[in-house]
Amino acid sequence: MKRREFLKTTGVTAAALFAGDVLFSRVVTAQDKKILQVAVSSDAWNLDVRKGTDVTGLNICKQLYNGLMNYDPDGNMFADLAEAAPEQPDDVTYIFKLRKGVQFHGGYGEMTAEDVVYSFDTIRGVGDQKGTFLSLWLRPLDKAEAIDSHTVKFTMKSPYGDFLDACTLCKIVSKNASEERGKDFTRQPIGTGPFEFVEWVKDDHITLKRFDDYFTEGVPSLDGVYVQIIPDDTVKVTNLITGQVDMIKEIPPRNLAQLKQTPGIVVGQRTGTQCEQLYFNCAVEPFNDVNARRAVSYAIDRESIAEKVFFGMAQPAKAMLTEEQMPLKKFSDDMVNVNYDPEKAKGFLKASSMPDGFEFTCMTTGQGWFVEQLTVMQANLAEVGITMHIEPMEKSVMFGKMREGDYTAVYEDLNAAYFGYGAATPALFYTPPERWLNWKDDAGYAADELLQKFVTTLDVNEGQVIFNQFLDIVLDQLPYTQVVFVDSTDAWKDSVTDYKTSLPNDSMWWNTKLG
Amino acid sequence: MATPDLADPLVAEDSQPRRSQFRLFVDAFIANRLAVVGLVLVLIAVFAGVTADWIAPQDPNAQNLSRRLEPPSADYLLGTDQYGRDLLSRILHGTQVSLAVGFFSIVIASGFGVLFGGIAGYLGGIIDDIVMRIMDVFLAFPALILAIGILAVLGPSVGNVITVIAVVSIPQIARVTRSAVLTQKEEEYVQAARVIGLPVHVRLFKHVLLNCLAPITVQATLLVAWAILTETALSFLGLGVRPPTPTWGTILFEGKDYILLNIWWMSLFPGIAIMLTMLGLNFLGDGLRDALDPKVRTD
Amino acid sequence: MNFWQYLVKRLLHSVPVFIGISLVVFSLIHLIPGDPAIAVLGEQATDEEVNALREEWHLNDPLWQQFGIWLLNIVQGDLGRSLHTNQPVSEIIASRLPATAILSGIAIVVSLMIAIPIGIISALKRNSWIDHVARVVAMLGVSIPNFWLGIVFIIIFAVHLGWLPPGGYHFSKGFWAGMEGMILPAVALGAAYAAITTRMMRSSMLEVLRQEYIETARAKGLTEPRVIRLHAVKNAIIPTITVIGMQIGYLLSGAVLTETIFFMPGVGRELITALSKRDFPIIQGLILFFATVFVVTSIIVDLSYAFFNPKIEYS
Repeated sequence: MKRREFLKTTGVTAAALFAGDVLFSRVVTAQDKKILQVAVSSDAWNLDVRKGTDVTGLNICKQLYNGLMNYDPDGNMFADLAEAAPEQPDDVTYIFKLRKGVQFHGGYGEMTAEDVVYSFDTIRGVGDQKGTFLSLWLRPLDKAEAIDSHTVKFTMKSPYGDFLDACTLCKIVSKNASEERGKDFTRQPIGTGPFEFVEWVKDDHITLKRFDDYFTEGVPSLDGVYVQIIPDDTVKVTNLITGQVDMIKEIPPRNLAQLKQTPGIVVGQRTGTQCEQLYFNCAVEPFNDVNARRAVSYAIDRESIAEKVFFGMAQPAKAMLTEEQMPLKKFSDDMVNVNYDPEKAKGFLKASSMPDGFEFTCMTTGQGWFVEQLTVMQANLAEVGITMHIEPMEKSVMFGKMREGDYTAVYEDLNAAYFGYGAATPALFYTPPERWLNWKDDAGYAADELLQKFVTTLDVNEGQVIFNQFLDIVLDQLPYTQVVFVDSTDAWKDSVTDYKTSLPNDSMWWNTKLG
Repeated sequence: MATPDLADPLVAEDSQPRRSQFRLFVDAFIANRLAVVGLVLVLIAVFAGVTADWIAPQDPNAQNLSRRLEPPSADYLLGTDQYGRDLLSRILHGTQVSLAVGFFSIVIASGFGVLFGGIAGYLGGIIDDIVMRIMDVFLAFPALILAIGILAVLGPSVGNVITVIAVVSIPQIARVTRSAVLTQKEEEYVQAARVIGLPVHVRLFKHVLLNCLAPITVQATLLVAWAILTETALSFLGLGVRPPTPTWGTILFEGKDYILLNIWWMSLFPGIAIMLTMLGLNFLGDGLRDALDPKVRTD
Repeated sequence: MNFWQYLVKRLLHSVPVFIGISLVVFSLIHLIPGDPAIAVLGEQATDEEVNALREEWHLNDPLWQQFGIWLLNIVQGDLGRSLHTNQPVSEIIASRLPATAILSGIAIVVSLMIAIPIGIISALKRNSWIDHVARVVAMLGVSIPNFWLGIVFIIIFAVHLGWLPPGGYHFSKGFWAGMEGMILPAVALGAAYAAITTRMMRSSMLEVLRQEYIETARAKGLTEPRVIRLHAVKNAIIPTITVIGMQIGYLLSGAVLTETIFFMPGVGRELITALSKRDFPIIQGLILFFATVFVVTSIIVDLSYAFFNPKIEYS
């Protein structure tokens, strides 16, 4: 009975496949352990904190590493690996005393001044070594030296108001682990944080477990964190509602009201630092004409986008920063206000070199709310006689085109979480005339000069004046225009306690408890 | 079907039995209730698509943000979407685009498929081997996956979706054509044509292909259904047609995120439109196949 | 020609197909716009960083050279490494395979359990109301986009009724927890497959019922149920089972969508995420993998068909 044998073999193979899978699957989630299950929208780019990463990577790195300084969810700076705020004998010198007895994960020993110097040097790149993306924040740094095993001295080339801020971004890695693991450090990070890295299955999940030798007694409270990557909005929300996960990051705006009404679900929401903005290529038609940029900027109904596309989960933007962002405290009263004004937009269009209207193509990334916002803007612009084509594409393709200057307009977000809380940093990154915006006229260079001056000005009041001058130029010339600031949001089951949504939407699960 | 050329003795000779064959086919088709239902459904969809510009109550892209996400009412028969656009108008225009994608992609695929399959089947030998091996290579990919791959290269647009679906459908048509040609080649009238020395291309197109039309039509009808479903799948994955162009796929794609909020009309109505049209095409295809197959017909 | 000669011939025939596949996959991926180096390094990367990475991954080499290296490597089972995570692609595929294999396996079982009885009844009661209903239902299965069906399932059974989890891969919590998560996706995926299978079973059954030996069996005085059970069904199932193997491509295509909706860590979802990240080696590896599975399945189907039907001509 050959046929029967054949069928039997097939059956056995199938059974083996099932059994095999059960045996191979991870045996992490024991019921009695307190594992926080979190759903995020996208996978991390990398977990080597020195390289700079995306929002998920940032969330994970917040748990894995400590900086000399750090921010709490409310944006208050605290001394983390430093015993206290540094001594500043003069404007260009910072001396940090390090906490004693801090252990690295994985048995890599005690954290010393050597690790700190190594971390900063690998970020900025010394000798023939290349720096990483974060080196942009360490440009004014002249040298980092270990005075003794627990004292580090930093010397600047010129006064640098944002250095402490940079210290929150440039976290400390283990020198031994980094040298030993080389490139693999990205996937096998070693820090001093309250959680240590266990596993990263690409596009599926990242697992962290409690670090038992953490330097603060009783931290963390959880036994582990299991971060699931769920790109689809509806699937993500469903998983929270049905209890598959304990927390979701970034609530889809349309589900905000629903989640607020769902019993057993807590919604965390606060004014965020993620700015949605339209970048113009100032070197090519039609946006080499400032009046074309103005016409577009004034035609956008920001209120309506905040209210309709974001269901109130966003605030109309006035500039690339909010007033709350440190150290800038207040916009000047006479600041130009770019708001929705179709008549003004038509006026600018008339004054431009294309009084009868024009067409342009705006690139954006395919996912999320970008297309929804642009669809509303498309209708706004049509009203004043401007035709916009939306071209969703992959991020890498888009950035590739921007890099080559092969674009007219781009719609993207910029989250201050990527760049720290310093007022200058986001602006610093996006406005240099040679980069992205091609803003290479007199106004562009003047604005750039003001920024450089702002960075080296330590006096807050003086800095405020300079920054306002910078804003005046930018808001008049509009090389890019801000549309809305999206709120930072999370939602979690009420069994999760001691968690607070953070200002730039990075998470701090250090003290979080699971009931 | 083309009118038989009476000057051609072979076709003239053949036209009498074919006409009765045709009557047999019509009778068998009409007797199949599901097939008739299918035909009616397809005709309704085609009518809606062709007349969308006139019968749609509103501009499918006109936004009215103050009246968004409204359930069906007298003002908006099928409700509105997240931009306050009239869903009925969008579905009607979506019918136009989706049917056009399905129809044109398969027409293009049929053109190339018949050409390749016809040449391979009729000439045989090494050419047959080469052409069919190439077709085998394309058939070796799951169609949607190959389509996703090609679309990633071309980028999203209506034209590209049509191209991609056409490309992945060519081998199917080619295969059907080839086997139909092989069967027909052995028929007496073709042999007769060969004997009296008609040129190769005349023989091929007039006699063989004309008689292969039936199986190719059946295959093409079923492929149109597949093509429409593939468009929705590609749009759903964000690889298909660009917004704000309405197609069933893009409307469904936009609607899916609102189902959880009990905003069911954005997903239900385009879903029904797809379902009815698919049913229509599948019933029609099956009905055609049964009616054209003498074995089933005489049963 | 005996079975073994046929086997060898069939395998030889597939060699040019495999070469063709690899050529298509390779050229396809290298025409995709977008720079993987930027995708990995992110928007903030400097030009020097991007160029260094392109250099490291041979992206600056001529295409034919890249193809040569690539082909040589796959023959040795090396599908390259992910551009993002540096993980071997073969390892990634292997880690995603269980979810897809289990999902497809259950979907096939579910669809056969639905399709075979319905197909049999439909054929026996041809053109009765049962046949019509069955055919309409089967047709609905192929007419509804499976991702849409999946979403509807989630809303009804997971959100509103709370009976089942909205998919997900839960085998770490135990076998039954895992199976529970598989139910909705497997049914959503299996629906279309069931529809196809029903149609095949029906026509295969009709074909068998027309055969002479059924008449002979009847003439021998066997009761109708025995004729059906002993002869008709047995003979109709084999071609159905073997022929549905040919539809494996349909299943794999469906898995791409189903895994996305139900959040399954399978090869289908991996393809979509890899595509969105321009992870060339993974995309190549996966499309190649899909095609290979497809071709190998058709070979197995052909062979088993030949194996079960000694009467078939090996040609």
